[in-house]
Amino acid sequence: MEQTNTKWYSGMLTKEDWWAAWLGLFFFGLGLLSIWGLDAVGWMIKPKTWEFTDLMSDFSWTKLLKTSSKHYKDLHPLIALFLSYFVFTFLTGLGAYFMNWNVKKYLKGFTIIFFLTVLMWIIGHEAHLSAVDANVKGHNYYKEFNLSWGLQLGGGVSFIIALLVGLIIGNFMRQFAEELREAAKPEWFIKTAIVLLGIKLGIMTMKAAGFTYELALAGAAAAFVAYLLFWPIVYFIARKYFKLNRESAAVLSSGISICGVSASIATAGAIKAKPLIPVAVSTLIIIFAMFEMIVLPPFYVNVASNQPIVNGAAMGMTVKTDGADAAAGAILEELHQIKFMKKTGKKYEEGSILSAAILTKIWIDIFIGIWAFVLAVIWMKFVEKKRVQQKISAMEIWHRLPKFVLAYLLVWFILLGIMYFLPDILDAVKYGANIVQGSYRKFLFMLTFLSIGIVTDFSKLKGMGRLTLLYAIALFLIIAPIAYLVAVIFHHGMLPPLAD
Amino acid sequence: MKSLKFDCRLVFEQNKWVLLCPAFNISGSEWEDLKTGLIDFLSQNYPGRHIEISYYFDMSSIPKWFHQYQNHYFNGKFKLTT
Repeated sequence: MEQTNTKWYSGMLTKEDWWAAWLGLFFFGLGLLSIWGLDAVGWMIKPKTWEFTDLMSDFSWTKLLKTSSKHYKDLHPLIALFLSYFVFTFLTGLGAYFMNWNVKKYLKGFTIIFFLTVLMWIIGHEAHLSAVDANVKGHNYYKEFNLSWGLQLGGGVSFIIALLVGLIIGNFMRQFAEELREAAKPEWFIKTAIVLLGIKLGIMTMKAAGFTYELALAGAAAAFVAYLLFWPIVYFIARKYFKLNRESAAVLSSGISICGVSASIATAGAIKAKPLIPVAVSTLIIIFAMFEMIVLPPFYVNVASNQPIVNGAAMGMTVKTDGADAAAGAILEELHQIKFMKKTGKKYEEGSILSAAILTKIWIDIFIGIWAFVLAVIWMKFVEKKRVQQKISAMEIWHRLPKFVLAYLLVWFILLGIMYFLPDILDAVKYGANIVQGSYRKFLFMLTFLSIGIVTDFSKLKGMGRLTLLYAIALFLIIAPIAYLVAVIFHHGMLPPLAD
Repeated sequence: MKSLKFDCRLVFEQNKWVLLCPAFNISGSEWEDLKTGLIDFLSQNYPGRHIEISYYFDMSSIPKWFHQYQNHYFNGKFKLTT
């Protein structure tokens, strides 16, 4: 089926990027019904912290799952679970239909992914794994469950379990992974979750406007400066020491420096490289992103536990692809929260460290289209033979702009508008918005972790020795240190607000 | 001098660029080859014209799985006088 972008509105119903925006805005809109006293979102399930021996002695679903709001507290958890399943399956299935995917295969795959995700979410909330021995708001769940031992990994352990299960499926159960592939869409899930994170940004602005504006501005400046340093250095090394041709060097430089796969495809298009080049580079990016999201969060937390925002911003500039960055940001936030809780008995505002990681990435995402346009002009003027007059339109920037970013900003601006112009309805707005940015966003994150694992196949690194070496050198010796330095320069001294 | 305009679809298949226009198809293994082939064809078949070709890359040439990362490759325009 033909898929060309001929008009500014091309792809509004047929592209994942747009569908992430539509789904995110739909959930946001559903949450806003709380303005009129209607709770249309509180039926969504979320896990409760539970303890194994307690559950075995007296099994009850109500110990494992609950609804997201008190309005639905009488709804049986299994009914809420199936309601959640039907709503998510219907909405994403609708997207799959319009995007011309194999709907039957999608529904089958999504059903398995949905219930696996819920299972991982529940397992991750077992008290021996997640409860932290710290007094927070008068509660110490570790002591309340009378635990004699515990790993104290916090809520983030659910993410790690989902990722590991995904990786096992993706690398050791390839036939099964292939069956799930139509529905394993980490970028779609995470982009939708990021739109919902715009709600968190709005709510955070209501609490700490100065911090949030500074975070947004510092993120923009840091992303811009970092990128101007990354790209030429990587390009130079790729050309000089690894003898890559111009096209491969440019695509790889963008892939490593900017936003991974999307940047490598955008750059390849801009310089009219054969599509085979970004596809090869993308394989590297996706696999390395996996290492980054596992290695960097604990490393940053242990090296600089008192700099959560610097760490978050550095993460956003280092970890490639939106999905892996958001996932790494979520792990980073959980690790920081555990350290902070144990030390002070307080929590940072939920989502603040993650927002630092996302905001730098959002600016980088916006920057992709502009950079690709600049490269296209440079390539046409200085590299291509001038046998025929060629023109490119500024519309190329629009076509390459990730549309979910617009929805993320729109959600933030709507909440800012309400904060400044309709303060009377603020509490009602927060009620629904908090549920959506809480349970819904976290569930989408869980779907992302599992899906990233399913689609990451380490065996694809075979035969890519030279590129792999270049990628590893560039990432760990150039990108990561420079990103951290830039994050320190622009975010030093910024601390997340405390949770209520 | 008369003007001609074509709206074409650009695909990449079997390691070749292929420009699919309403009145003709041109292919080339490299981008420069495609341009050369296009100029030669237009000069022979449409002499003495101002020609504008708008091309739109068809994303179905890129593995579907990658569309979730980036939905656009490139569009552009050739202008020449034969």
